[in-house]
Amino acid sequence: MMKKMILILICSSIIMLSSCWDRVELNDRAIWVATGLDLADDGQIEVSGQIVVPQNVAEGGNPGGSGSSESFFVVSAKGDNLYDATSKIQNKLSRETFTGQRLVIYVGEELAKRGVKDVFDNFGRTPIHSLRGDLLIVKGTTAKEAMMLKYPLEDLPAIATLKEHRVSGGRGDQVFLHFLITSNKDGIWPSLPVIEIGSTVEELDEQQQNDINPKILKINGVGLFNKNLQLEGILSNIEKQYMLWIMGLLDNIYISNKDEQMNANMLLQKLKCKITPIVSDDETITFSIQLTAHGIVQENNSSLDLRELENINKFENLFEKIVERKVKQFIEKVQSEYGLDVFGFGEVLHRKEPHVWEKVKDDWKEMFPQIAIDVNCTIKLKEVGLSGPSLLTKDSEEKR
Amino acid sequence: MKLSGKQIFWLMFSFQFGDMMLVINSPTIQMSKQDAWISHLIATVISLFIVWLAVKIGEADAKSTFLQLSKKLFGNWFGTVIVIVFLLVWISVIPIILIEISNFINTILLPKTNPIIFYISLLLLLIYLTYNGAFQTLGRLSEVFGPIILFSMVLMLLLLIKEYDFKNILPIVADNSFYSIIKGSFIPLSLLGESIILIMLVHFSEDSKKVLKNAIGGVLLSSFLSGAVLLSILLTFGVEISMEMNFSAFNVISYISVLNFIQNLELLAVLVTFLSIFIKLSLYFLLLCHTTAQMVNVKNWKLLSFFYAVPFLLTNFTIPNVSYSLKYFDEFWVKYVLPIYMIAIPIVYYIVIMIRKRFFPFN
Repeated sequence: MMKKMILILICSSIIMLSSCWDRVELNDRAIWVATGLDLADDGQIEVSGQIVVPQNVAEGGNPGGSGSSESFFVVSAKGDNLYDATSKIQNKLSRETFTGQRLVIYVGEELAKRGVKDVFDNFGRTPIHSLRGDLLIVKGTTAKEAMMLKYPLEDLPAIATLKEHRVSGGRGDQVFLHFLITSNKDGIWPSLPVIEIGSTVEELDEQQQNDINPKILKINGVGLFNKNLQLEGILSNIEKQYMLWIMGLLDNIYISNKDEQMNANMLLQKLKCKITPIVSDDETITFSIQLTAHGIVQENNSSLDLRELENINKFENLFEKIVERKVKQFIEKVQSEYGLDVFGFGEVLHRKEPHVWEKVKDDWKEMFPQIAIDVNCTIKLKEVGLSGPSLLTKDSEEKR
Repeated sequence: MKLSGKQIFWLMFSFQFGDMMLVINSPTIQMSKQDAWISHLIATVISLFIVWLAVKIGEADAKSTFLQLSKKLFGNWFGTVIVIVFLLVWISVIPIILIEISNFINTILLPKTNPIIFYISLLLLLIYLTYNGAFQTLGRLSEVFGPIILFSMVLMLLLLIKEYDFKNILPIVADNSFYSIIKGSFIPLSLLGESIILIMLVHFSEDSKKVLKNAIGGVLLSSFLSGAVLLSILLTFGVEISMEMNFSAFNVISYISVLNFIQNLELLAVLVTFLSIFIKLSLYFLLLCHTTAQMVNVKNWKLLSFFYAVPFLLTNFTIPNVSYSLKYFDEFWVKYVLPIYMIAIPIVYYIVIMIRKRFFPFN
């Protein structure tokens, strides 16, 4: 009996006492939701972290208590590389950093221009990080600066950035993986979304900035990288959407048109893009891009009656022409100004004509700016909304 | 009490699956790029042949153990030498499995734990298993673990489907020569071919006629499931980054995110791998003790579990790091163990059995 008791005691104490040394209490963890990376003056890297203050994230506003009522704070330190700086940050924190919940990585424009090839290794090495995450370039300022801004709707600015990015039709939390894949492939050049400091209300001066119209971060465009992962240029927001459409990653896009004839806007959904490489007998390569979409009329400030079939066709044709023109202009701009194949035409060639690709693979960077591209767009108008012509048109005007 | 047909099925499944998920993905993708899944398919077909061969050899004289069979076929001296080759393979692979699993859990789950803890607890478990039912307990254990492994893996793979990008496996058979695809198939084959231990398992089974069907089923299931893991890695990450990862299966499972709510499932995957690798470890350990005991004429074969546990524990100090085990796999396992232990010796056995059967049938 005694023997059994002792045995049970030993066994249970093994269960109770062992395997606890890897555990960290939640109260001893500093939850790190966003990382900022900047170039410091002396070539070092400055790492910033946005850290949650758990007691202030409680539902239903901020409970009373001493100290600040913000739900986050920012820490930063400089170091030779990412982990050197992170370990210095630990000196400022009472709790062990926990990066498993990290949502967003901001990269300052300076660092992006210098190149990020020697910065990111840790994110793929430490098992605590998933490859899922958003990665953005901060235009015009440092990541540290951007991370200190509050956002009125969300407790944590990192969540605001992620949601903004998703709502505006970007790649969201797949950006980091996408960046890794594209920087390793031969036929596509990497690109990253861009964020910048703006104001909730346009054109405010410093005095007018207050709690009601604060400074916030806004998604604005996309940055193009070369194979050394250096930032080469930044495109505008609408160009970013065209780019994602061509890559097949965009969900919807608004196209508007304003001239004497028509002032209208259409939402395009179910976007598809089919790229076909055409290799002629003398081995010149051209690409034919077939864009397709379903259209929903959002605005039609004219007397054009959309209940008429021929008007619908007219509407469709007009917008098809606009998209074709703009997309073609955009691709030619990228070809001539940057010469970087961010769309992945090379990869399309690789997939569809592997033997041709084998020959041109090494010279693709030189070939890409000269490639002729043909854009074709088909829009099917699916919904015209609740009125035929604009409700503000008189009967006599209606027709055209 | 012996192993039933169902137990053989789950035993073969859990015996292979965990180690395959842990070891083969990145090396196969390195070798045959986006066509790794074709390599895997080829390996599956060849491994079925190995299973068939192993069961036929075992069936020829199901009453005698492997050692007795070898002695009958090749005489006392030469038969023992062949069995020693088998023993050496097992003795060399057990420390490798131990270091793989402890390094893996250290990296993914418990970074501060001393690996000696894993060694001690695993080896104690193995001794406990040897003394409590041995093969029969192992059979029951895999009947419990097998469905858990299967169910959780299928669940995780289903959640991953929305991340697939089918462009990642195109173009099919264009970047690679056929030779490199075949070469890539050796890597999964070298683990699937471990089903050669069926030669010995037939002796421990209830009904030797049921073994073939169930063994083929188990191997097919594990091969299919690990193939699905391989394909998911390719479709989610593409070739370039998945071949640079150490544990790509776990990276891909940690990439699962459903509604920002179901995340970090790799912990489940670690559990599954651990269960499966424990089955593998125990099967090798039991066979090792049992066969050695017969060879040196020890009546109580279970005593040998202590004899082996101590040196295996010491390998924790002698194997310097995990790159040793990678080297072992590349340089020794695929190059020598696969052709000799898994293919050449069984074929010789089979031929000798066929000739022997014609002239002096086994009674």
